[in-house]
Amino acid sequence: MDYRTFDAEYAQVLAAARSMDSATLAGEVERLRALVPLVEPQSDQSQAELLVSQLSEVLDMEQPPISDAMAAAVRAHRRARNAQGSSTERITALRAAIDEIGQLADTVSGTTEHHQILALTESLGLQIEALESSPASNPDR
Amino acid sequence: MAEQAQVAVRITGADHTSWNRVWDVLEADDRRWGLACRDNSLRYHPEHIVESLRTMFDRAGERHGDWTLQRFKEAIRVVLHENIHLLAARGTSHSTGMDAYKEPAHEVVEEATTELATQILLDKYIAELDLERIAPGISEVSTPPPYGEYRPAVERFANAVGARVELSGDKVILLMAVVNAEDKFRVAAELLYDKTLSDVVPEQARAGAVAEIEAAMKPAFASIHGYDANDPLDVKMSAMAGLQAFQQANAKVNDLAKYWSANQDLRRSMDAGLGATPPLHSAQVPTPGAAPVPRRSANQPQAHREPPTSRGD
Repeated sequence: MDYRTFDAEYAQVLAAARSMDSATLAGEVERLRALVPLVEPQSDQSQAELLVSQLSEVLDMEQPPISDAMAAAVRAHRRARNAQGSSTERITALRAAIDEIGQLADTVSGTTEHHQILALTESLGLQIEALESSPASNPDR
Repeated sequence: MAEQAQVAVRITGADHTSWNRVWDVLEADDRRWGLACRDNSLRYHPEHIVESLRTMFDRAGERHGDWTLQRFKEAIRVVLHENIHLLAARGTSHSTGMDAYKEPAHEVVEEATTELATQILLDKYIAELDLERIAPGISEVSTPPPYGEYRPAVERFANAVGARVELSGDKVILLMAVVNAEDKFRVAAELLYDKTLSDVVPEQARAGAVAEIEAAMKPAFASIHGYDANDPLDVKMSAMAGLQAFQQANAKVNDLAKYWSANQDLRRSMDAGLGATPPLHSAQVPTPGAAPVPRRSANQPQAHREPPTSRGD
């Protein structure tokens, strides 16, 4: 098996990962690992091995639990980011989400999560900036 | 503010900050804490950022509890994050990258890279500004970084690129952080190109090849735009997307390497033709392989053929 063939197998696993449960994905990683010694020339095996170990590390990731307030804030953030329509409509949706996220942050006021939730508004603010302004001015040029 | 902006430039190694020396406060009821504006000015929340920092300096040297120190550190984190947004390469600025920010892939990479760079540099930034003297113990407290649904993608991507080009993942992140939202993918693509292709691809085809590698990275990042930091599977898939972005880019690199390795006579004739008038534009010369990249290719003809896989071979 040449590296290109191995890489195609690896790419397929990455593309299908979302639809796999953890056990299936772990099985795929082991299948890829077993293919590494078959890669020719041998000098390409280290690159193939690196891909497998990087994928394996992702499988081992553990996530700390997040509160209901953060969960709701992230949902609001996602809704606003993905809002469709005219620039005006999108800006309205972004502003509404900023307010909603602020209110959710207030429910955990006095905790470190308050900061974390409010930080979600920053990218929404930048999106408003990008939508509101014309592409004309550039002070640096 | 001016001093810290220069510290941000110094510790990142950036060419310059786009900051126009103007900063203002957001409305008191604004939910945002910081904003790097399109006109290259900065805005901060009057209470959470401005007042926190004012209190910190007014009470310089005093001991504070962890909660207060966390508030201070969070304010400092936001200031550094916004200042990193404003870093840019020569001839560019934060504002010139703002149109790109509208695209999901660019937003994902801009925010994740900026926050990862912030986390890498926050302690150094605090040390350079001598803030431990102002707020003793501030280096020890931690604040949770935002963009948990984006950071894993860029972190894994940077690690993979770094492994390929023999740099640390942090170094790759910092190199991407010092250019604007439009140029971040190009930095990563150029790292891969310079390491693996510069000896086999003709100089005239460089810009086109870099643009192809850059384009290959984007779909995976765009795919995580709707992801949820609260969903462990989404966070894991974000990391997976970073690996996917690298795999796609690396596959493109390998295609280009294979094609040009088999066409070294063509490369030599193209390189020999550099500077000739007019440049090579004959039937033997490959057709353009990708859209030109303005800053790199303004004076270079686009002259490389699609690699075999792009033609469906």
